[in-house]
Amino acid sequence: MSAAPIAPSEIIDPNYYQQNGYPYKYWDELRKNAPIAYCEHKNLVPFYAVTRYQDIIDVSKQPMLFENAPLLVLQPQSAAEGQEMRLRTLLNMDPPDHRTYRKLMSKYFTKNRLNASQTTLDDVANKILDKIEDKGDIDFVTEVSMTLPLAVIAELLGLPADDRDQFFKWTNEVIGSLDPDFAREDGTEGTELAMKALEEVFEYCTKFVEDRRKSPKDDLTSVLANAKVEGNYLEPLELLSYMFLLIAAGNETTRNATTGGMLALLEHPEQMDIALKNPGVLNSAVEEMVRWTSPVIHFCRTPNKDVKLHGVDISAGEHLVLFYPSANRDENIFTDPYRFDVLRDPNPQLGFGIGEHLCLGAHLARLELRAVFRGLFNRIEHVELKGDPSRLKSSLIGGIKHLPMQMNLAAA
Amino acid sequence: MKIKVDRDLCESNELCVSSCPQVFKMDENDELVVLIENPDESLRHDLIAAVNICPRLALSIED
Repeated sequence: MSAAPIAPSEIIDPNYYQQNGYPYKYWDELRKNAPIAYCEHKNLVPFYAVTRYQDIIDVSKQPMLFENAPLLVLQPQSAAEGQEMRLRTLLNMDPPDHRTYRKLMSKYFTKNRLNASQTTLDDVANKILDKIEDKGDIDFVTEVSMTLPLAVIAELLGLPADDRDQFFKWTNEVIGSLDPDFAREDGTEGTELAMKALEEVFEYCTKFVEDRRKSPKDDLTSVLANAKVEGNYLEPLELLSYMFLLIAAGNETTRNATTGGMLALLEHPEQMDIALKNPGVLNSAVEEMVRWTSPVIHFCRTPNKDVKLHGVDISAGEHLVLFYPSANRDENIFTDPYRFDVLRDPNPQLGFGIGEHLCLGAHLARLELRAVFRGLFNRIEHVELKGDPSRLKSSLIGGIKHLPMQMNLAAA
Repeated sequence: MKIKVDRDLCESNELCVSSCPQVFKMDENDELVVLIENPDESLRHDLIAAVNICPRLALSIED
């Protein structure tokens, strides 16, 4: 059994991410010298860090061998047991179940199905920008980034607009539970907070499901409520988990790609200039924003047989951690990977993953990002960063909680 | 050579259509249609591009 080189634990430390952003210099080293590197960090199960683009593809190509179900994300061991029992989504299923459940929703998320919504998304984006047109000083996150993804998924699910703020709070509590910013006033925080919030989401969604079984409407909740697997309605755990996934996945990540995309433009004024003067670059700019920000930091895979990767022996049941942002800086795939280039083409970025578990919402995310930035590129008169981003304490999502800016927009 | 589509994976992302329109087309029901099941050798280059670009890894070439 060949010993694996050791990876620095910074790559999985939520404190590091909060203080410094992504650990790019560590990933650069690992891609070069230790593509499969063993890592141990307090309170976490040990794992092998996978940092190269091609290796992430090779693992993702074999979902029957490298499974999601045993472990989806690296989190403190005590939380892992509790959480895994409470949530069963596409993310922690493998074929054949994964395919059965994904097929319930996939036709509503295809490119062609969603393209019809482009104009609506533009309207929603412009209304959001109308609200801040003359404000001057804003928090880009709470006033721009978070609003569109939430509005869209709430609309798709048929959940009332008035409850959006509560969804925002709940998804922060479940996904960002390690961050003390999201602790409740009564002191509930961490794992306890995540589980409480999840319970509350489930309670909320249960009422809707009941309603949509009685009177189905033209929304995704009705689809899920009335879907049958092997002749039966979905079990509550799977159904409620599915709704939670749609609410959370479409909300956190797109929000962070929007904020990170704006930050990248502000940090690279010549790219901002190109974008403002050339409406045709919108699609490639958005793709580059996803590559640049890679909001999903990692997911785990667990082989069900002994395997050997780059000469390193991995036993069945041991865990791999795939670092998508590292793949998106792989110098073997991307020319000048550390150049933010709104004209980058081709751009085979892995921010949405690839293969079996490719992000179901990828097209929706692209359309949302295009809507927001189409609006911004048309209307920005002046924009300036007014403070540092405040980052989420998480090694799962690269999140920015606040981004103070000064922004003046023209009328739509 | 034969082009194979894993229908459990295809989600009509249409990138294959851009890479090799002689072989791939989307129908009016948003479903992928394979126009030539056994394409000529001259299309291999474009087919390999299609296989590589499919984000669901749904395509393969069988020789």
